[in-house]
Amino acid sequence: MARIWSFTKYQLRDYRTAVLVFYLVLAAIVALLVGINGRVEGQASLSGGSIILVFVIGLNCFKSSFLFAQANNISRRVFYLATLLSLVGLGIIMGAVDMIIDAALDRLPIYLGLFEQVYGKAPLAKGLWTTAFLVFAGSLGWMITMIYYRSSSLWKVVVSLTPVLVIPVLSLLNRLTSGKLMFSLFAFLKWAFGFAGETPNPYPAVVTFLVGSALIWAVNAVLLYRAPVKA
Amino acid sequence: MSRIELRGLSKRYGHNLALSEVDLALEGQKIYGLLGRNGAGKTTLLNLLTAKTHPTLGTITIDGEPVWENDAVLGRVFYMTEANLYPPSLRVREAFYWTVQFYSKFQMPYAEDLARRFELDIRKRVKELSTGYASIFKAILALASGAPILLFDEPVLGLDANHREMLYKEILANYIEEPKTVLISTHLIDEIADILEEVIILNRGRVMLHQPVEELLESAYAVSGEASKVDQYIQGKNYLSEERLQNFKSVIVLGGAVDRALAKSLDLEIGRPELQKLFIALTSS
Amino acid sequence: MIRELTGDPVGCIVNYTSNEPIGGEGEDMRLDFDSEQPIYMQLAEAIEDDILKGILAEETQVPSTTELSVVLKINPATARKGVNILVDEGILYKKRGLGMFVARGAQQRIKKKRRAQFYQSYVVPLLAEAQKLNVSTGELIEMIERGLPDEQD
Repeated sequence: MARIWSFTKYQLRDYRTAVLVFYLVLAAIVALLVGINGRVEGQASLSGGSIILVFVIGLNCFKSSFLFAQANNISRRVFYLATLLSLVGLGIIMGAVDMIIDAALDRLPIYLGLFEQVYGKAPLAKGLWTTAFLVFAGSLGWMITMIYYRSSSLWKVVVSLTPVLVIPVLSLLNRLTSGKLMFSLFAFLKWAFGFAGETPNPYPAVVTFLVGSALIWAVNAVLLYRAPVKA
Repeated sequence: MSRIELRGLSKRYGHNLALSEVDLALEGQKIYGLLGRNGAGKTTLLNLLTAKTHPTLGTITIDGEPVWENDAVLGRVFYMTEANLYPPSLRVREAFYWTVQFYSKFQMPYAEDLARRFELDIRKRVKELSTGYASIFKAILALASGAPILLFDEPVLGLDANHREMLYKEILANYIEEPKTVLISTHLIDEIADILEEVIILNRGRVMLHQPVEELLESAYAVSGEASKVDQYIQGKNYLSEERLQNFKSVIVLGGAVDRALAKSLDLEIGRPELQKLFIALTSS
Repeated sequence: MIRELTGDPVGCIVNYTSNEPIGGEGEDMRLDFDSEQPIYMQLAEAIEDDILKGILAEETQVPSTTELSVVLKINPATARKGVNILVDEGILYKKRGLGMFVARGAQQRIKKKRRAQFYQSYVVPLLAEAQKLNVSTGELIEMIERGLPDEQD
């Protein structure tokens, strides 16, 4: 089982370049904005950026690391666990860094991170929320790549079209249920992300992200089980 | 001592039956040759053995344990694949470093020494390697891995003559230094014939034979001479290929002792074919 | 096909050709295209040749099977088999902890063995070929005498 840990280290090392570049670019942007404005403001927050980054990392890293695991005769199970650990690790690390950066930039007047914009100030919850979101994003990216990897050309087209079809299909179903579908859907989402009560509550969102990740990883297990080795 | 056992192994890819009812037991520390024509099923067999793919039927065990999802057992095998499974942007020396993490007996000094001797620049990235150097890279990993079972799939692909000779010698030296089970899968037979102890020939997904090389070579001989006389000689005998040039004919006979008296009386000449020639004779339809 | 190999440790040169007639058992067939003796036999004969030529002197060490197999690029089991044949025939012997050595009287033993085979291995094929070419006995003898080194006093 030392192999799980070794492979986790490999995965993290693999993410490292992307993450470093990300933070460097970010630092450059912040420096630029501070230089121009004297402060950092507004919507385009760091948390959003890291989420996109982790999602993209998830999208990119499956195939080459899977093949590398196979080259070293590492079982799919070990690969699965190591990748899961590495994404959780990445989530924790980047979550922590994000917190630090946000705290640092907070000293500058009128800065609001994504979290604060939505839920208000709550450092502990923020850490959990960011990490959970990152893990969810990374896992989602990973799952999507795996779906593509396992798909024949036909299925690849189907999968690619799904996002496009979601809205029309939902609208149609909505009309059929005379608006009840959308209503229940929005109510559910509000509840899941903690907007049900008077003040937005981050903890349900954390749970939602974690449950979502668990579901994703269940799907990943199925996708990975007899995945072929295609160079 | 590693025992590799395949029982009733079959693998189907869609409509294609790549392997069919393969029964094979490889016991002991020897250098085995896995020979077969293109498409015979060699790579499929190796992929099944290392759990890269799942069998349609049958079992695969190493030392009695099934290989599927079995890290303990798979960790004892190093498989040099024909395909390139290494991340394109990984540098050779990083690959060495990571292989140490996964194969605890990997010997870095040995790997570096081999890289130096083969003139492999370890700073290069995998994607920058030529076909030949990609093979050298993977072969070095296999040799330095310290694993008790080494599988080589077309190890000399793209190698120039000098490097081929060097590699065969390295495999031998490695095997002598630390006896292990080595399986070399190739369709380049003549160069490798001498270093093999046992040979397994796959033909159209089935095991055609599995014998010590010497035994196989001694069981076959070539008869040649005037065509009609050769025909007389081979009456009732199990013969393989025939080569014909006008009135001259040469046939390879498998099994049975040479009938010297008959051959002499018919003024025929007897010879012994090399492994490659015998292989071709055995596997031409 | 002629292979020339150098064994570094001992500095001896091992030559063998593969167009030797198959030895032993009174076989009188000549080898032809693609033909080879089993490798272990070729190895044994090559070592014998070296002993006969004096390249491997009696009581000197013979390259180990390990060295032989790496240099000749043959499987160690094959090398061992070839060497063991010579051990069985008393041409080589094993000194524990040191390796294989040429036995005393090995040259004589080899000469004796080869003499016994000489007729079958060389004379019979010679005569067969001579017959094919209609070389008369007289011509044959003349050729042999021509080829013999001059007797000098």
